[in-house]
Amino acid sequence: MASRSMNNYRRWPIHTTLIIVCTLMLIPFYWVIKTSLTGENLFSYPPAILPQNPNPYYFVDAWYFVPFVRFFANSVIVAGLAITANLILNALAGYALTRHFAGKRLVVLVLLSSMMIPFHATIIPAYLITRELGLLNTHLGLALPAFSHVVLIFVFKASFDAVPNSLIEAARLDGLSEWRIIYKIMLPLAKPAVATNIILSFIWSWNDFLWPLMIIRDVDMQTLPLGLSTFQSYFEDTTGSLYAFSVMVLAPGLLVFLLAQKEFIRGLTSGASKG
Amino acid sequence: MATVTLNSLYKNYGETEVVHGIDLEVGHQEFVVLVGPSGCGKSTTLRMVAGLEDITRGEIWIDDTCVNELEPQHRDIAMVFQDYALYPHMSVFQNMAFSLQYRGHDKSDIRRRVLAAADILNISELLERRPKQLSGGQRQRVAMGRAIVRDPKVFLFDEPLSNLDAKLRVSMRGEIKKLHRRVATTSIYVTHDQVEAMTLADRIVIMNAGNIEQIGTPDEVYSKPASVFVAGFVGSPTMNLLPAELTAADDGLAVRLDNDIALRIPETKRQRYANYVGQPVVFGLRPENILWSPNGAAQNDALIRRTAEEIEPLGSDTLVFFSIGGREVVGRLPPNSVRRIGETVSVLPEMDAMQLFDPASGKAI
Repeated sequence: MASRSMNNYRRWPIHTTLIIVCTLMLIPFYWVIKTSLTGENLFSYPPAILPQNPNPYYFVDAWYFVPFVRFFANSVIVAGLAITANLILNALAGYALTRHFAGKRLVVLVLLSSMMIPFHATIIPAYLITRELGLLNTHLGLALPAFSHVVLIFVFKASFDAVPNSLIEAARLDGLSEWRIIYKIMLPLAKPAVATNIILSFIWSWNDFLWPLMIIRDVDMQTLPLGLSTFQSYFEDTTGSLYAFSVMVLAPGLLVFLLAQKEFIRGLTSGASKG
Repeated sequence: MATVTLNSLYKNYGETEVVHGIDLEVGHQEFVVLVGPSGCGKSTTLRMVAGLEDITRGEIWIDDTCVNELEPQHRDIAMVFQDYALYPHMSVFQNMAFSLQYRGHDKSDIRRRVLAAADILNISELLERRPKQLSGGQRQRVAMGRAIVRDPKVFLFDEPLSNLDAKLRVSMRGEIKKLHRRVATTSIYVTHDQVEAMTLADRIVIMNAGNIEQIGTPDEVYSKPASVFVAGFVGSPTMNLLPAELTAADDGLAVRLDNDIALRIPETKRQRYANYVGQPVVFGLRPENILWSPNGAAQNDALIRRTAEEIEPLGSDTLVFFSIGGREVVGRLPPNSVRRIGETVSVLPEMDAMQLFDPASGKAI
């Protein structure tokens, strides 16, 4: 007991620093939530630290003045497609990269190099391909560029690398095909990588603004970030409703993250230390 | 019936040939142990039999089927791995039942087989546990159980005991032997531990640098090693090997070890060695064939007197090290026969048990 309190005592500078940093990072979130409940002008002085007369009016406002449910459904469909595709494609690619094959180094090199090219640099070819495929203004077209993220392939690879080869060989002797080895052995042993893939592909898809802006023509096909900008253009005095809208956009992402954060953090740090 | 036949089996990794055309026949229900030092090709050979490594040249037959092109799951074999290879996310029952599920067995049959195997291996009470909740020995049993439930034609064991501590290794060795008597399946077992090989095998295959040095029963490879390598590998301590010269004595042959030591070759062996008179040979004698002879007659020309340079008391006997012709020799002498380093040791070599080897080829003469 004595040594534990001694340890806690010694750690107080770190804890204090972390609390301050966390508070600074949480302040904007707090401010968004507070404003969504009060509609207080951003520039009002002195600013109220605690919400004055909080009410859900602005949430109702945001819900009814734009087709929020439609935007939400579009975002969910696109995120669902992106998550499913990322899980399948990245797991397959990650597994392939744990095997030996001719030209593996080159493939790894090409994949890693492609991470250095920003999406904005390839957005025009991506648009042209999507148009040729007839996928403009569709859910599939929205999700297609987010079907696989190289960094998430390597998250799977790192996780699969930690699975002993003898397990794969045992599965092969047990009669499993390569597909079933991935599905029955590798994925259950790579839960953190699965969580990481789900969270990151969800967040990237959920928050994407530029690509939907390029390929969506109809209001009915807009996702939440596009809807947010539409909403902004509808109203002049939007402070409370805009913030309420923002909270509603943010909430699912936060929820997904909170539900899977333990596995997510393990996924990001897998391979960082032995065992 | 389940036999395994290897015909001129080669394995190359790129330009490097690691298995140089080995031939082996494993009989029905036979327990064959491949033993040799690290890198001798024993595990590679086993993995080729399992289908986990491609065969560069040669053929592997299981019964009347050439399995070269067959996938591992179609060879009707089961393998026990060094690290057990249990699926960590499944219970013991699920681990054992897993392969049966993919081979079309119905649930009642799977349950019956798993419970029967668990009963044989004494792991019935562990069926609901996960591998991480088991000790090393228990995991090893589960790994064997997973192989048994399949009722395969051939069991393959890849150093299954090397992750266990010394005491557990001895007890699991006994378990494997009992298990083989009970399920009587053709088995190929790989180990680098020659004691494991001696205790388990019906026949031992001693491998060195990708070649088979000798195939024989444990008794044969121990008492009649086919080469200097086998003599130096099998036994603990291994056979004493000394450079010597075969000479003609008054009434027969003698092997000269040193200026003052020329040992007469027994009559029964003279004919075999007659052609080597005047040639250098390697003289081999097991430590237990060096007999303590404190009261040996000084005039007995076979008596060797040397100074004890090192003593290792083992309880049941004592290993005494001394030199002949500058080479270290060890004798397994009765306990307390030599108490101190520096004491004079009087021993008589048991010449009926000696072996001679050709120093050029390393093969037994």
